[in-house]
Amino acid sequence: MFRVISIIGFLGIVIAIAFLSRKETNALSTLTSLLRSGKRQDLLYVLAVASFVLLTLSGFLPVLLAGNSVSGALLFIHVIAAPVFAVCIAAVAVLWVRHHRLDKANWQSLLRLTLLQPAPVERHAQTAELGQKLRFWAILLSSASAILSIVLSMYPLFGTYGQTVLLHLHGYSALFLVLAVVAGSYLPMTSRQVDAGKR
Amino acid sequence: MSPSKQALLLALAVVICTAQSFSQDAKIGDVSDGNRSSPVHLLNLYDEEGSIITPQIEPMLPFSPKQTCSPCHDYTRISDGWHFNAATGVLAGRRGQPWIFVDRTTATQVPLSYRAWYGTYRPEELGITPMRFVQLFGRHMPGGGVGDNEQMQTPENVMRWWVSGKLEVNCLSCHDAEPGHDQAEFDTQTRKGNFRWAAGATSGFAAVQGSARDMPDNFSIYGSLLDDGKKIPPAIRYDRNRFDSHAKVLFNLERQVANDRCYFCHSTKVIGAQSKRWQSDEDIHISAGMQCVDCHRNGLDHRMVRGYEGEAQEYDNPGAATLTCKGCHLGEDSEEGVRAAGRLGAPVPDHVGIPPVHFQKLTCTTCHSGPWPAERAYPVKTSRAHALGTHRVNRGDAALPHIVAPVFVEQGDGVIAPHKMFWPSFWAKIERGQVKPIDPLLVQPLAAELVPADTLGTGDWPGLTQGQIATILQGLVQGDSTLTAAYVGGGNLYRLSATGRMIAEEHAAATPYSWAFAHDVRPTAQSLGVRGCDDCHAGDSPFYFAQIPVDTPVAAESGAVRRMVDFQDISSFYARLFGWSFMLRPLLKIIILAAGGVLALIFVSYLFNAFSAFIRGADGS
Repeated sequence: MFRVISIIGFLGIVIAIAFLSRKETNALSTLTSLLRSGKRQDLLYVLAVASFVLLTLSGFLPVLLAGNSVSGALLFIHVIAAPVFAVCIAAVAVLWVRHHRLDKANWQSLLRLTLLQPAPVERHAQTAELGQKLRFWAILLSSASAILSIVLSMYPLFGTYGQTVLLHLHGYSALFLVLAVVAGSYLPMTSRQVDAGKR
Repeated sequence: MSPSKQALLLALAVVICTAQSFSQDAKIGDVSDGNRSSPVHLLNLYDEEGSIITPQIEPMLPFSPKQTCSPCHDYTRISDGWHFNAATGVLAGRRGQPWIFVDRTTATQVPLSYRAWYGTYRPEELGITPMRFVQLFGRHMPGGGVGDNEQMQTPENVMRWWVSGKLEVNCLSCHDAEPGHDQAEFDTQTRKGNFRWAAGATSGFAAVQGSARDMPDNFSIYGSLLDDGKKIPPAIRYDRNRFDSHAKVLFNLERQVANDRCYFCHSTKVIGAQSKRWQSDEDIHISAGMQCVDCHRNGLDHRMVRGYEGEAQEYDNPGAATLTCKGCHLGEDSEEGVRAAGRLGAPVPDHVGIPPVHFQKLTCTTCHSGPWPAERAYPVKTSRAHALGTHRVNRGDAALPHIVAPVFVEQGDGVIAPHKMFWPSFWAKIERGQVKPIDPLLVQPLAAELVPADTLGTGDWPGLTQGQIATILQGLVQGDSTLTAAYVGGGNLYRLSATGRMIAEEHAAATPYSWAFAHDVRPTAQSLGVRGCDDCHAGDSPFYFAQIPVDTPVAAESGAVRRMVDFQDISSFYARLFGWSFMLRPLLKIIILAAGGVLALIFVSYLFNAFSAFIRGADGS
């Protein structure tokens, strides 16, 4: 089931990117420029992205390709990358959270979006900002869910059923996280160049 | 009457006759009227010809279980049960314990089975006829099978079968609750060739003397003139007091077979620090008051439930699914609408803190069954392999065959289970690349000159040298120049090169034979993992790194070991690295928990802020 949903999710995002992505978006070049900047926050961000990529590949490849759970060398990579990602994402969250607080203007943008009201041209920037903030919170929420679900399963708190639920929660949270990150990086509504001003 | 009506009537008649014949097939003892008490078995004894045995008629003949039980029970159907049907070509199912042919003189221990289990050889491949098979292994057979199958009798043995009689299914082997029942007598009698006398000898109300094996081919059970006064013809003497006035005998039979009856053939002795009987514990189920047959059930067809996962699908027997570990304790695989979990009081486990992947990759028995794994797999002795319980048992710890347990082996379905294991050793011929065992009787004359006698009676390997192996191989080739002879032992195949040099190479035929076991089950508090992950996930845990001795008769190569991980589809390096990684696990957990906590705190605090802002907005403030 999880495999099917994952495949559908990844296919959906690939198709969406193919049709909707902004031509000028180049995640690699953005990361490279951040790395070159030498700022601590930028390095932290790059480290988070790198560990995230490792976690995604090691976690989803066996599921998508073979329908198996993570094991062997991939499990090692997953286990090594996990604490790095957890620390980085926590630090990024602490550093960026103030700039991603939803304000009144965001609320009105959200209402306008949910009511499907056409936005005037001058308000496209507000919509994009809302998208950026929502993506941040989606990443935060799914990261917290993915991290806590797996770490709680390591303690003798839950029985087989609870363990299974936690494992599923970990998987679906991770899937949501991947989709949020990928969508945010490539799709026009949520994506903007990583705005240094907000950091 | 029209042709169509005639056809309809004819069809009706056929249906009625068929239904009647079916109803006649069901014998009185095979159909329960619902009463759960055990019926009294006050029976006339019948000989194999179907004549009643009375105390007044001499000579008294051995009673035939088939003739005695058949009036009330469907012998034919029962005799196709799991304990009797090995040679009938029935689906073999999961690999089980084979019969192990052991001959110290020829340094042979080879797995035999009439079932198509990979790694076993059919007895006839070693020149073992059904008659010899019964003489060798009848000790732990409940009769029937090849001992009761005329079609399998070889022409050269026909007269001997007349003398010995058939080894009929001995219902008493399992169902007898008579205190004087002596199953060890079954061994004594089958070795003497007294097949038709064997059931009577075990019964507790009869004594058998003499030996059919010593009798000439023209021996008659009604009396024969013997040319050798020292030879005693087989004969049975009943306790006449057991016959009532109608020549009936009271059998103390139980439908629910007692554990002791099962144990005669299914005991395991672990040779280790706590190998004395008083030091070892019973299976937790037995301690809880259960009987073997509470789980290993059968219907009239006596197709016992073996109790492994997948059996229900293999044999199209849905009921078997509820009698596995998971079936009883978790209720998995039970039929829709049937609540099977917890039956017979089985506790439903929580498995707190155990990641679910363990339940995909391990059988329940991995953590719960057998001796707790130590640095080295334990030598074990089993009833069937070592003739335990018989009068001729070698009580020495080193007696062949050399079986070890537990060995955690990855099965064909990718799931790891505890196994018993031994390394086959036998003389062989190579034909078109295939390694086929040679009849040890052909090797015995050659080996007897070279192999030292077992003067101490240890029953251990003789300790062959490669030179002795080469000499025997040359001897075999001299006897048959077309033969490419080889010796299999200790994981190697030994053969002579064209120049006469000894070559030892690993070969598939030399790989160890192993079979999964499930008992004795340990209680929860003594299960693997109860002390934490490092019961298994450690750099030196027995689960992965216990030594498995490579048993070999070749003296120079004894002492070699394999590791448990060699029998699992996992690299030793990875297992060790993964084990070591658990040393950092507590730190890892703290880091990740802290990070997750920070994220959760941020999310929750801002969520509250959002709520308060929303409420303020709603107030218009």
